[in-house]
Amino acid sequence: MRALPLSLMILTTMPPLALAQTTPPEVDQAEVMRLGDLVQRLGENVRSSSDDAFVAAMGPPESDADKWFISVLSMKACDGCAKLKEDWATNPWLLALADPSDPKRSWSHYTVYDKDDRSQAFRFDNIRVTAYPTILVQPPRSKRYGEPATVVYQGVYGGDPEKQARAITGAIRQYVSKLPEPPAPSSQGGTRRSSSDPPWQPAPRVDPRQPQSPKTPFPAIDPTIPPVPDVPVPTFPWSSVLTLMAAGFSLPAAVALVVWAVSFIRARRQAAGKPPIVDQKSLDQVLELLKRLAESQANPPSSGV
Amino acid sequence: MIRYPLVIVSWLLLVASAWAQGIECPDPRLAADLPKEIRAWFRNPDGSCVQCSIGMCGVDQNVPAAATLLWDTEYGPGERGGSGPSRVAGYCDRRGIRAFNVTGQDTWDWMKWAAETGRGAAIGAGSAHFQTLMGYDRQSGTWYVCNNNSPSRIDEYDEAAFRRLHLASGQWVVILDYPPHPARPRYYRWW
Repeated sequence: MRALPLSLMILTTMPPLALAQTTPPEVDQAEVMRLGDLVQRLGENVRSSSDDAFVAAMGPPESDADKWFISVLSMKACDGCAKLKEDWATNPWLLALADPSDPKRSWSHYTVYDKDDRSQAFRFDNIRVTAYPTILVQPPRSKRYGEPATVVYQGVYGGDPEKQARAITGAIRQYVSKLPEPPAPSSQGGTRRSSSDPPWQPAPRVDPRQPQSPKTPFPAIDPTIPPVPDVPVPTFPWSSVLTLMAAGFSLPAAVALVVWAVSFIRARRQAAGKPPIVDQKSLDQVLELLKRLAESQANPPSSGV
Repeated sequence: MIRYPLVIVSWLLLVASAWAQGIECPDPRLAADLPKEIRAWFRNPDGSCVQCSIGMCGVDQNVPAAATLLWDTEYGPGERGGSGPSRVAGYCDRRGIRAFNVTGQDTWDWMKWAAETGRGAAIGAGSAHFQTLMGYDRQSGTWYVCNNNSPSRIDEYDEAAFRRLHLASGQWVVILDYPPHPARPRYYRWW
């Protein structure tokens, strides 16, 4: 009878012991202790053969909390997005703002987000993105330049790297000038394979190019921040119309109507993002000519008698 | 007899209210920004706490190769089960993930660096366990940690409790060497 409790004790303690022997620990604490003080920099393809090379780098890097953020919102099969990524990797104007291949030397934190990546969609719930690629610029996390969530610049890439870089720097300059206070100085061993799918579709490793390119890879809609001032639409020359109706044909009134019509069409085309029919210089010359004509009719030269 | 159910209900309400008052993303005290719905993807399925913790950091810093560690994707086969620093080094190299794999007495400085620069960190926390460091408030000395066994909440620790937590697993942290995420952008009429 004395052996029964002993057998029961052995039976109840054996399974956990057996499990402990077969199940590896979640964290290999013994290896952590064996390694001691060590910093490994992984994934840079410049592994040192000796740990001594890392001695100088035992501490964490310099804080990069003062870097601005440049985020590119892109989408798959978008030639404009692919062009922007290519330009940002090679063009000196864009590289001056962010170096995608060298995050440490990069002036800003540069990240590309895929609009279809469900793991990142929540970040952009508060803003309106109507076209891709959209570029967002935000102040640093350190709050040295105000609230880090602020959209300092939002624009759609139009294919001109220099123009894009100037637009970004212009917006930052304008934003900083409006700050209430100037910023302060400042091996597969033990691997268990699974065959499960992730709960979301991750961003693709290689962005597939669209097989059929559209006429232009760049969208026409540009919700730019800060907004560009609207092109003023000239007011309708009611006085000229009244003059024509009351006093019959008058060259100055007719010229005023023509000038208004030309200006109106020009403003509408500019607002729609279309190029003007004639360049500004030619238009100014024509308008000047019409003005002189109207003035000469309104004030005929005296005969001198 | 009526008193006991009342006491139980009151206690449950107290626990629920305390739970509801917990910190949640986004919050300026937190470095990582991961909604609880996304953290739930990284609930520890099978003793893969190290990969769960690194995976959360992968989403936070938009590094798909790290975010998808647990699953078979074009970035590589799923990595499941227990890990040590050498295994992490191996799969990071295979997947081309840049990371700091830090062991030893300097882990405190690295964790503070990560939190103060807006990055999360996969850290040893608890006996033979890894969790995700979500933030550190230097002023109050509060550490914010998400346990992949209970990813819907973010646990708060004072300095002493966090020290015990980290030492219980051995001093080892993994920090992704990528830019931190920007704050969720908002329109303010500054112009």
